[in-house]
Amino acid sequence: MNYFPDEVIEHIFDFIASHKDRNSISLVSKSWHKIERCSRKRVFIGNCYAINPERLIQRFPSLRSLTLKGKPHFADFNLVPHEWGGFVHPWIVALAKARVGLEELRLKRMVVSDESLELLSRSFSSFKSLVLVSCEGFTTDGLASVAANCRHLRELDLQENEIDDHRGQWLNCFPESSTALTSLNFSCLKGETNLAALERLVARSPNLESLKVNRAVPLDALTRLMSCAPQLVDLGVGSYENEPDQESFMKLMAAIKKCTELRSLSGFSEVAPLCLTAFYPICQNLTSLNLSYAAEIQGNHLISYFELQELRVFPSDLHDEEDNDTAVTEIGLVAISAGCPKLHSILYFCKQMTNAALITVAKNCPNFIRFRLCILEPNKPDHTTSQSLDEGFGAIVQACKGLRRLSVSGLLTDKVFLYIGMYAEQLEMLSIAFAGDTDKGMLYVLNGCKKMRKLEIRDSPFGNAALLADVDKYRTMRSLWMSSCEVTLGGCKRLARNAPWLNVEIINENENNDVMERNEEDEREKVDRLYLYRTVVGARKDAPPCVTIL
Amino acid sequence: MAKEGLGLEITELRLGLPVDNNGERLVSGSKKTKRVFSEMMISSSLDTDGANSVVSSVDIVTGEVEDDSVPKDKSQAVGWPPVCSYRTKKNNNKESSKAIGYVKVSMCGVPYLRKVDLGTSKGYTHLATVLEKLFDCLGLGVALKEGEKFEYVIIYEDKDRDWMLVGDVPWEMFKESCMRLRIVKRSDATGFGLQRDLSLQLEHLHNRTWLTSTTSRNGKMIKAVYTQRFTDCSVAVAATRHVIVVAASDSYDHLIIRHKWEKLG
Repeated sequence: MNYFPDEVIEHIFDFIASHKDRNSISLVSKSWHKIERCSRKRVFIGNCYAINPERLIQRFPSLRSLTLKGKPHFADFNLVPHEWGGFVHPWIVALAKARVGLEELRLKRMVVSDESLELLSRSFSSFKSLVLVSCEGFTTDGLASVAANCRHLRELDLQENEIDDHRGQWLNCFPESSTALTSLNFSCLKGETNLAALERLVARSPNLESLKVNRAVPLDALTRLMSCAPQLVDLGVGSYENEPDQESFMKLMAAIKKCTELRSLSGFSEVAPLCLTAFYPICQNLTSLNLSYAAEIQGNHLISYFELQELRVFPSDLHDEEDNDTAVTEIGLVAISAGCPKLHSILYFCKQMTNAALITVAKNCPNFIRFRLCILEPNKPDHTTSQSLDEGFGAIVQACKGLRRLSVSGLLTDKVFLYIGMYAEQLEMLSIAFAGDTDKGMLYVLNGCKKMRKLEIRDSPFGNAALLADVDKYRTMRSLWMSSCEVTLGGCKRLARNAPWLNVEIINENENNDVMERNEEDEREKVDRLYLYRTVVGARKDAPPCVTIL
Repeated sequence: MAKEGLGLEITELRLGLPVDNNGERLVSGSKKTKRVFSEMMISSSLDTDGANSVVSSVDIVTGEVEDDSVPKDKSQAVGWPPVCSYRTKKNNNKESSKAIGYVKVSMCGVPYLRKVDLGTSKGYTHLATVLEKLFDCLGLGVALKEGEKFEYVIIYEDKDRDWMLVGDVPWEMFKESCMRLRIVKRSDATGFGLQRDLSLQLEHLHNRTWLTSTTSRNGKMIKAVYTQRFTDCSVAVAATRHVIVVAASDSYDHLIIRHKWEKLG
């Protein structure tokens, strides 16, 4: 390869898309490092505090697509203070200043402001794609500036963001000349939409493949949208509580039938069952079904979609009492695993589970990549045998050799972690809650799972011994979260001393936030929330008072 | 009992919502004054002595439900269950949609829930019609009012999280307090070894002349029969897994009569 001119090598590198592989290439030699970094178009940064924008731009001057993730996953469950961080503004400022030809920005759990969006829309003339997932801090005004100024916009994908809906006319801000849209998702907006503007936009976007509307788009509008976009592959529908009348229903069915390319369906916050049946004809082609907002569809209802690859089943009513008729149980999960052999990702909330069911599921679906099971009641044992669910999850990790993400729940001892450490060779992300007995549990995981990247633990009896056993392990991981565990301030301080390349953050929302001023005795005090991550840029400067970086 | 005496006693009983001296209904608030399903939940410490069970069943009336679910502190831990706040906000918005009058309705044996808008509903009769349409189940209107023979009964959960029989309280009060509805099969009760004959238990069980028979198994009382003849009174029976509630019709619109059954075996 040394005899090839750089341009040829660069051309070869172009075929290598995976971040991991490109990272590996850059380690081969100095010349490859240089060629790789100068030609790199897409960069993924799993933790925005692991690096800073200046160094990013310095290394990758040809950057076109940037993915950034901010807050830790447990921020989704109110475990991270609102002001913790993850601001995208400094990144956009730096990229604009360096005149990077940014075309795509994908953000997850970051704080985005209207100002940031305005700056973004004005600074990058080739900007094509904006994907915001679980972000917050902006309003529809920010969206309006993106719609108005990004003349080559192809993708605007807003997933589960907290957006202040000013009910403005942001959809009107797409110029008439904008016909390049391939993906539009505004399902998380709470307010009314300008339906006429939406229909015009969809009508002039022949390449639109993904459309996800919000609750406020009524059935007849949806029907019209589907009629003028039969090429849709991915559809998110709104909220349809009331039964449609005969005529509306027929029109809906006709429109759906035309969408022969449809492979993914979501939305359905409140759906009258009759409405849902209208979608049945295309359901056998679905590879992805997200009924997460549809409270009315019960898990025990047998689902058999042969092509289904991803499924999410959420609890319909978090405050529900024992509602035995409609509770989601292990029966549903087993049925799903039997009916959907191609299933590789599942998120399943349920009331109860058994080892036998999990063993059956493992047999039926050895192809799981993501398996997330949440039994609503913490520490709940197998309801038929009253034993722990160690064996059930053990069967899952043993059978699913490609498992990359796992969330466990129910009554679990250290044994389940022994199984995970032994068998889950590809596991990259593990979520633990109310599980385990001793430090051994956590150690099994840290020692056994060579590919572990994100470990998040809450309310489990793991302490300093596990935390400190192998500090170098954290070099290979993106981050570790521990809350309501047994680690103490002293243990965290020791870790921070031994690993200066880690940011060890203690999050404490109590009155006395100044952890450092406490006397030595408090070293034994348990740390409420610990979040540590590797970084090459040291302690961040934007931490709020409730966060102490040791 | 003679009809005359009956009339007097009925007036005295006023087992429905508490009324003040002027006969005005007081808004039901405290659990004590409200006659609810949950008050009938049988605690596991049920007195097994048949003879004393008349009195003890009064005790049971106010007994607590044995909650076999997880200790409250864990399941109500911050951020548990792990559903992202965006989603729970959506659920809470659904809760606030209740303010507009939508409540969930579930029917046993039906795998999905429906919703009805109490806000636009005009009264019990109208509600029954709506429910009949939603679940394709004729006769719910009858169940609402009377008809001890009808297959289904309708119950609702109120703001205090108690289960009550639909039709007991004035419509406006019902509208405000109803959080959700359930349509349950009366025959569920027979699944628990109960017989169809009506048994009535009145609040003031100190008058034991109303107790006509008890049935025990393994020393545990499983059935007590109180009979009281009422004229001009028809009853509807609602059954959940734990209790049977019997409510009177318009003639005695405050009268809520209850009986409870213990699960056999």
